[in-house]
Amino acid sequence: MSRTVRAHPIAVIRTLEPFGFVLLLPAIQMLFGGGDAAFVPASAELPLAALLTVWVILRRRAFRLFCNEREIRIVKGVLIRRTVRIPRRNLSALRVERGIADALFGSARVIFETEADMARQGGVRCDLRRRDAERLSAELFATSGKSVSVPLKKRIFSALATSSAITGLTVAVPTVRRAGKLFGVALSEWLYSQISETAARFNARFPRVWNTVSLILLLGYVISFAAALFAFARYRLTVGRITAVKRGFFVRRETRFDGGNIRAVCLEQTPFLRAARRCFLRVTAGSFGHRYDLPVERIARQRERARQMGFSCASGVFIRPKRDRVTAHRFYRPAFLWLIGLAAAVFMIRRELPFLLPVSLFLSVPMGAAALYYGYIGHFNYCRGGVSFGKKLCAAGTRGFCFRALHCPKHTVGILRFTEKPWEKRYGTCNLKIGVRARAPVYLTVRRIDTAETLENAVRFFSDE
Amino acid sequence: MRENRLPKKSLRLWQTRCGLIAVFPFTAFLIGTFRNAVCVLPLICFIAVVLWTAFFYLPRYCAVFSLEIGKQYLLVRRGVWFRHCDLIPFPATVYTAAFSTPLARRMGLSALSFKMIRGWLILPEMRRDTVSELLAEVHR
Repeated sequence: MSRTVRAHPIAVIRTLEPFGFVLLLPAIQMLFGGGDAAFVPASAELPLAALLTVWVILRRRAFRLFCNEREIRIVKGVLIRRTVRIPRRNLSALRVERGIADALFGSARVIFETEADMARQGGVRCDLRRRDAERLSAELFATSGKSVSVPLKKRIFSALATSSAITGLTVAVPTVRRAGKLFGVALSEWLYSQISETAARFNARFPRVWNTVSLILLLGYVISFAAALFAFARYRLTVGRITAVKRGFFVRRETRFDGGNIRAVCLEQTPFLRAARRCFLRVTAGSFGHRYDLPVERIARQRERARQMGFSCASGVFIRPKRDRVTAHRFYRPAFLWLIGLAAAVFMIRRELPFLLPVSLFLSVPMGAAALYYGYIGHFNYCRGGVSFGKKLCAAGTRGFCFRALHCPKHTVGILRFTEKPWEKRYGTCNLKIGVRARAPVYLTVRRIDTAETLENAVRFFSDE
Repeated sequence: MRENRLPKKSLRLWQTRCGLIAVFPFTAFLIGTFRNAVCVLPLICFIAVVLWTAFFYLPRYCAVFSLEIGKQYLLVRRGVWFRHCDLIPFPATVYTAAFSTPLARRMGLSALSFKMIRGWLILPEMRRDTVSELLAEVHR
């Protein structure tokens, strides 16, 4: 890209946007509203607004972007001229965003992501013409593979795998509140009364409030499912040495990164995905470790994707929990004790507080299911959990209710924490928590492995050049 | 690979801090005891907790604490009941900070904190020369 690129005129509007209601609108009202005492304070704002607009226009005209084989140079500023030089080797990823306004005016927001980024703010950003953004993207991160979309079946799978009632309620409740404030109506109260009335129509042995709670949780799940389905609606993925992920419905975001910048790869399975024998591929890439979630696929296909990106998931000899009856019991015991406790609680309630029996039975079903699932997690940790210190660090374990397999090179390991609980001291085992150096870190816990052996291997892993 | 333990001065420092922190609540409990006999039991419990912390927990913590400085990593062992062993590769350290209170400075001690990406670790007060050596290794 030998020529210099200028900023798109939309940069002027974007810069003025935060000052819109405070400065510009009163000034415009004063201009067209006529002489009115209420607008007297705004008379001081008119010159300020004019000065600000002129300054922003000059700023836009002063902007220059130049890209060559070695670096990207951005010149900006009116009075204080700043030249930002980003060596291309320090560029972690390039993100191009196009919202509705960008689609209308033929512009795009380009964000250069580097290690120096602050969390949630992204890196150096500029508004360019769409053609220029596409050319820049192709020059910096040229993709070679074919772009594929996510079929509807896989989108439904992904949505089912990632949806939960809590996520849906976390999104829906603030939205409803804000909408209610905006329109000046008690929207959340009205919704709650509608849900209660609907729940009352169901004849059940449980109190009405349980029907209402169940209905709210179901609605939360539906919202979460719809949002997750929508998120993958226009998803396009190009996998190769340079990977491009394009997603978003109203605001299109395309992120490109080099496979050589991958810090860690994590294959993650939720309970649902585990049953379906599929997994997510979570790639942490870039110097500061941005995380990209690739859609659901079979495990072998995800490993192949990682290999196409230039990251091999080969593992060495695993250090696993000891294969004996005592160790196996230690993994299954918590779930077993939980089930016994639950059964004892229901039995006591039946004897002493029989009027609470329907409620306790209602609660004991999901709790019993959770206990059985916890037992399954223990089984997984016993059979498949472990860590390997080969060419890369590879580990298999769990985090919460999810199963994870993590692969990361030595230089991207953040911290290894060995925790020995008092009741595990006599067995000489510990839990190992592995953290990757990344802004959105991936953690994983490997349980009940031999402390001395694992520590010795870990020290050797970091000592070897 | 060098191993370092916490010096005895570090234990004295923490015992002194424990005593200083306990002065105000002890006084409050004592005054409460003179006014109302109900405060006797909390006062006794409080004294027991302070004595236990100063003469049992802190010495054990200092005895268990150890620091191994490897070629490319730092291994920290700590914890009395829940034993933690943290292995931190040097490249994972974003920055370090040495800091000390007036009391620690008088005793020639300094604490050290390691800041990693999305993680941190604080090492209790050690001799200043040990801290300088460690910083030199980390930032080599």
